[in-house]
Amino acid sequence: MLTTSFKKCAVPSEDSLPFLQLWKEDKKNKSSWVAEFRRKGYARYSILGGIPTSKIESWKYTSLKKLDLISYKQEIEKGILSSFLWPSQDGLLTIPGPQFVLVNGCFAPQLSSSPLSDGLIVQSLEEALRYDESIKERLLSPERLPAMAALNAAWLGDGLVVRFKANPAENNIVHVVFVSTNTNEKSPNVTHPCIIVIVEGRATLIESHMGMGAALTNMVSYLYVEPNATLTHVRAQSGLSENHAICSSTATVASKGLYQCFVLTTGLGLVRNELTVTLAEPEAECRLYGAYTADSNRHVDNTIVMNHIAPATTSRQIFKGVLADGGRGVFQGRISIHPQAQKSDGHQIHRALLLSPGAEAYCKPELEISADNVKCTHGATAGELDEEILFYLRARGLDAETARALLIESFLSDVVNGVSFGIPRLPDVTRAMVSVWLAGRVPKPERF
Amino acid sequence: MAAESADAVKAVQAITDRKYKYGFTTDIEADRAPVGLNEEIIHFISHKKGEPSWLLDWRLKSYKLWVTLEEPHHWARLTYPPINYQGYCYYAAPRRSSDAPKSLDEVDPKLLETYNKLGIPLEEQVMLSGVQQNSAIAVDAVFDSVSVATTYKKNLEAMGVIFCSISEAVHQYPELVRRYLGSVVPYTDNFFATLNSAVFTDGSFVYVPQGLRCPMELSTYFRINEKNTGQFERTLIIAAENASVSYLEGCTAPQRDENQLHAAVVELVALDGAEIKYSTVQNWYPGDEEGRGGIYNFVTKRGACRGRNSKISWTQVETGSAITWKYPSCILQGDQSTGEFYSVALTNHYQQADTGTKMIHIGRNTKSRIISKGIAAGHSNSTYRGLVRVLPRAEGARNYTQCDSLLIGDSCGAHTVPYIEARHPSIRIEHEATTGKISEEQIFYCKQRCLSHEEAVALIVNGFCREVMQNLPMEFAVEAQKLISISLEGSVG
Amino acid sequence: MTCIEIRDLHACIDGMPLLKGVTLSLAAGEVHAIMGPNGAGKSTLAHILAGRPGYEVTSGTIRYDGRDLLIMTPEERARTGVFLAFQYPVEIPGVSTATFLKTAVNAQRRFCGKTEIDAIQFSKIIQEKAEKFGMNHDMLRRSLNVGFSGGEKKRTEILQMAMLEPRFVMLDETDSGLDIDSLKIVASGVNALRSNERVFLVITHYQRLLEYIVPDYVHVLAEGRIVCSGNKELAFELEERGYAPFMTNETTNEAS
Repeated sequence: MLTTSFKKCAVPSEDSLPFLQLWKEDKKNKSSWVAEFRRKGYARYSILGGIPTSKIESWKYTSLKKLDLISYKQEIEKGILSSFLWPSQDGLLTIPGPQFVLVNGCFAPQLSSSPLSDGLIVQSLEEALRYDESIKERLLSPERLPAMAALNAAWLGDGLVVRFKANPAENNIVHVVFVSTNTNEKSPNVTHPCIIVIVEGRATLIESHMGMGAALTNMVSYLYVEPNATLTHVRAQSGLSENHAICSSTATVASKGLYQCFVLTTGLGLVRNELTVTLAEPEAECRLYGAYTADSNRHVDNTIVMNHIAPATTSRQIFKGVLADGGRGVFQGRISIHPQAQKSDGHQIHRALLLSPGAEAYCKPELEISADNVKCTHGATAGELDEEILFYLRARGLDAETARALLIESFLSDVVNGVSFGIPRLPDVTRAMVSVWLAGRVPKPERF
Repeated sequence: MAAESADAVKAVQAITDRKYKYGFTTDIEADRAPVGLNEEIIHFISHKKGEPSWLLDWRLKSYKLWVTLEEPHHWARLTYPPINYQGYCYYAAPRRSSDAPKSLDEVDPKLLETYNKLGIPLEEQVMLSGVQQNSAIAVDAVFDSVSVATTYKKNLEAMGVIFCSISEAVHQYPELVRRYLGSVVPYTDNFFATLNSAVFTDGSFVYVPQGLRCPMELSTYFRINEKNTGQFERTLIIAAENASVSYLEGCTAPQRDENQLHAAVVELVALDGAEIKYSTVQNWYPGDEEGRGGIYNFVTKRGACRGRNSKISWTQVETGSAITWKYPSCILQGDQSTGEFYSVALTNHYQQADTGTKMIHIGRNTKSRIISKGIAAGHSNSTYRGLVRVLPRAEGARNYTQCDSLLIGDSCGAHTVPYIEARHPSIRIEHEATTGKISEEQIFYCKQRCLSHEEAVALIVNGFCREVMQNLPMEFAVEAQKLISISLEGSVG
Repeated sequence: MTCIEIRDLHACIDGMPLLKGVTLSLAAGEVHAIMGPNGAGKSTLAHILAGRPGYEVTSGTIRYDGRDLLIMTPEERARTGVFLAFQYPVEIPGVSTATFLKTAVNAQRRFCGKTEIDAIQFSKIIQEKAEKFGMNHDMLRRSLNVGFSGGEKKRTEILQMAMLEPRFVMLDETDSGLDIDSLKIVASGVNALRSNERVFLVITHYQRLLEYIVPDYVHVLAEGRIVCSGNKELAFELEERGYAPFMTNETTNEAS
């Protein structure tokens, strides 16, 4: 397996010599292409100033300082794989479909379903890079990556390549499960998985993140929706607050293709979902739905860049966030309509609900329009629960806590209940995730 | 269909290719400082104005800071060649025999003629009591670096309103100036404000005493005339407890090939229950069709609602300048204070505007409202950039923002960059933005009702801006509408 | 005296033929109704007469008081008295109905070499007329058609007609979506304007409107042609028998 076996300095700094040393060693064994890619990734990461700070516009509201990334290490312990206990089959994993597991960024075939089935090919990234030249073109050149994705490139190792063949009739559902482990109590673990998904027919990708012990997953994914294809993507993030996730995704949608995605975040400590969608060919379409909850110093950041490059492309975005005591929500969404993208149509909505003092919502929707024959709107709101409706519910006999829970659920409902994508059980699962979050929250009686 | 929309673009260009009516120059002898900027120049300016030492010190402090600062160009959506700050003249004043004209009769007739040509009569109408008074506007005329005349000064003085040039205020009301100058926009604020603090030459000063509703519109008319001159005016308006004032600002410059620099600072202070309405019609020379020349307009405008129930309302109609960099803002410190920002920004040819506002909610139950209308034509770019920040103490804060953009033609850009920061649960922030163009349907409907293409566009654009325009005082609304009607010869008005 | 003379008019949009040889002659003082099934080309005819861009006239002529209408711009047509009451009146945010109409009336007056009407005079005239159509002052101040109900929109169209005093009026499905009260008001507005000088072309799907605006002639437009003409009795006949007898088999099959 082409895996990074270094144990230290998971986040390289300019003077981390051991890190560079490892590269050199690497070079002897590995293909020079991979070594070169990593070198470029690291160069890019350095040029951008290393770990992003709030001075960088797109990181204005999300600070990685608290994570103290320098203390992280990278861990690949093969032994763990065998002793690894499969988490209970709950949540998204109850949705039928083959499951592919990445442990600390490495594909674990022994924990995964069969990689070959009708219209589906799954390979580890390492294997794909070795045998398929064309896959290299699917990785974005490191020179164009933002800092954290560049860091991922610097550690390019393993990951997953999933290809859905043309199968217009059938909707293939595939699970990708990211598991991070940590045997060392003192320093958290960081992993840099990379996945590539190519869809020629209709497919659903369900992404679950699980952490065991303190860890950061710095994931990069490249999603390609080929002409007339549909990719449905569900990402669920729940788990302990000592686990963090930075997910940088790039989706490229070809002519008449559809990319639709639902991101639900009810757990983890710091979450940054950075998604760049490029509607590259005429009539490409994208629909994004997001719901998140954050409390107790948790931080959820959804940063979207929607590039309308080609004519008659359409995008829709609805994001909703519920924030309470110390929870911080960030939404940055740019719709960029390029000069050639006439007759395009972009809409975006973000709504934040602030439940209690200390909750913070930061929102930066952005329109960048360089074509005149377009329709483009965004809307953003931030506010508290409607006191009048609360009173109404209490006047009907509901206690304050139940009434609040009901209103929160209702606030999220058009996303959480409304988005099913035709996937069996999806709304049940997502609703349950929200309920778990609500149940775990201490009620806020002081205002009643 | 394609032919029709090409037609539409052509017609729009015909309208928007407005001739800049204020492009003439006045041939008048001027007192100029040597070109360039250094400590000596600052001494020169301060000496010319006979300033007290505290002000000279403040200027020097600003200058020393400024040389260490970098021009902020990374975040604004503006591109322009580097500005050679050493290539400008920082002081130019029409030469005159005595130090200051004692009355309007002593003002150089050439200047009076210039302002007449600009449609700003510097004569006072005979003041009668009652009705007549309300229709009069007091004008402070700033020509290059100095104030050349202020009308109705005496009448205002009688009511206790101070309205004069800031140079005069430094001498006559030093304690007021010292107390408030730099209190809203400190000299450390930003590159351009720091530059202004070092070299500001003139501007207007207004103080409205407690309980008085200023019965007259006050206005300043800025004119850049001299070649290679930067204009750095500084305006300071204070409305004491329960006072109110409406202030208007207009500006023009001659048509010149090189870019002229304008870096003004405006500070407003509203105490308990006070209300300040500040309106601008900005019509600096925008440059020609190829993007040559035009004013670089880097302006820091900020109002502090210091008192409870105070209110500051900005209205701007921005049609001029090659570059506009301007964010009139409100610091809502006082509980229940209100900030408003109404803006029309129209760009054409190669103009670039990056403008918007900041509403900083600090006090309880503070309210703000932002209405922004951007119109981009030709190869221009119009950006709205705004911040709504609610701090943790600002319980019950409310904001409503509406940003609409209209694109005319397919070579221009309209951008919206709002920042919303909410740090208190009991708030309500609503933001909406739209971008679109004038529909073919609307144009055809208007044509079916006898309007030409030009008239149809003018009408629709004016309708698009109405919410903002109706906030302008009557006297200005007409001028602004004409400007927006895009100086459309022979159309609505 | 013939006001509008349409001869063998063929027109298409994006290469798709819509009118396949319409011939129609309208004389001053007459009211003509055009009826026909959906997609017959009724609205197309009205739009071409008003000069809407996007249609291509492939052959045929239209004379308007002896002039070639097809070479006139839409605003020229409007200023010389061609008026189309839209089926879907367009919204113009920020422009009040009164301002819009004042601009329109003065544009027309300038064109005719007349002096413009000032604001005070205009508001008197418009309020008088508006009252007749059951429109209050508030409606005149609201942005044109923005948030108007179906009935309000159509009344506003008729008010505009009354203000512009056109020579040739087309009503494009003005009755669609109208309650009976609005319908009566619209009809009375039209009837008040009927004169020996004017021509009306009433496009409608149903006979109902024609009970209130009684036509001199009724034409059936189907498949891009006038397939039948008659007097007002034809409208009742159509109501009873439908359009099927006027259609070729090909089309009826498609419809079913």
